[in-house]
Amino acid sequence: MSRGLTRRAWLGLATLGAVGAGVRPRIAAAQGHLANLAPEEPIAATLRRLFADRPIKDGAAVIGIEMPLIAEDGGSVPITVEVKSPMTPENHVKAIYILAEKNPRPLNVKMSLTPAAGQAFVATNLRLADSGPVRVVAEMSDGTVLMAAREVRVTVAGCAA
Amino acid sequence: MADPGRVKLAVPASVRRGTVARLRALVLHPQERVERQGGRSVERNYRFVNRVVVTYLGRDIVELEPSTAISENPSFTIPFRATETGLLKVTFFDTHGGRFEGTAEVKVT
Repeated sequence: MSRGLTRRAWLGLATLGAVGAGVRPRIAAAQGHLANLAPEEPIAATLRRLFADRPIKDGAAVIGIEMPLIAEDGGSVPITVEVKSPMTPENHVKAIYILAEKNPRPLNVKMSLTPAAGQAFVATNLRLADSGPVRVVAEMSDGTVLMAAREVRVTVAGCAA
Repeated sequence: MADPGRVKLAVPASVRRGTVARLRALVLHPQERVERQGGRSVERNYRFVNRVVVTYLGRDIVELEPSTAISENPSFTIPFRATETGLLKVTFFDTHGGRFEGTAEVKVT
């Protein structure tokens, strides 16, 4: 190292710079590498990774899922999810997970909620790799985990990955 | 894409105090999907929105962590309980350090 600053000094400066600029510890750049994505796995493995051994109960009575029966374009399939909940600080939905069973990486999106949302609701568009169930898991503030599913037929796959 | 990173928000013109209203937020973004070759994922730094933070009156109300399996130009409809006239802010973060922000005024009557 004949240059003015050693590698160690550079690293130190870089860290100081990041802290000074108010960057969070989770550095924003280069998060899109495969190692930072959810792994390719069957949905059972994803559920185990997310909820460990917590029992997953049938949530069909409280989780409403609206999706087309047949999706012409797997690249953009609309979904609307509503979980019945009073959304009070004592009793609310903490998180909603949308998972596509036939996608190589099943987790489409995780939504974290606070009681200020007033409602446990989300609508978005999914990429679906193949026909199969789309599962919605609701994690309640008391730790209960509920799951419901909707079967969707996909005409043209969305290469969701 | 016409204007990547542009954020569009839609909120009702006015909301009654104490009721729950919905905000629709959209960002123009490629939301890249993982490429596959010979059945295996190709390694590179994919560019997609992986975090969305929604604040109302300066407080976080909802946070989303989308994956590559959310469609191009990600859009989310999100509820909020209207308590006071003020700002709703939605910030989209992508995996390449991009940060795209939109704000909308909520009129509470």
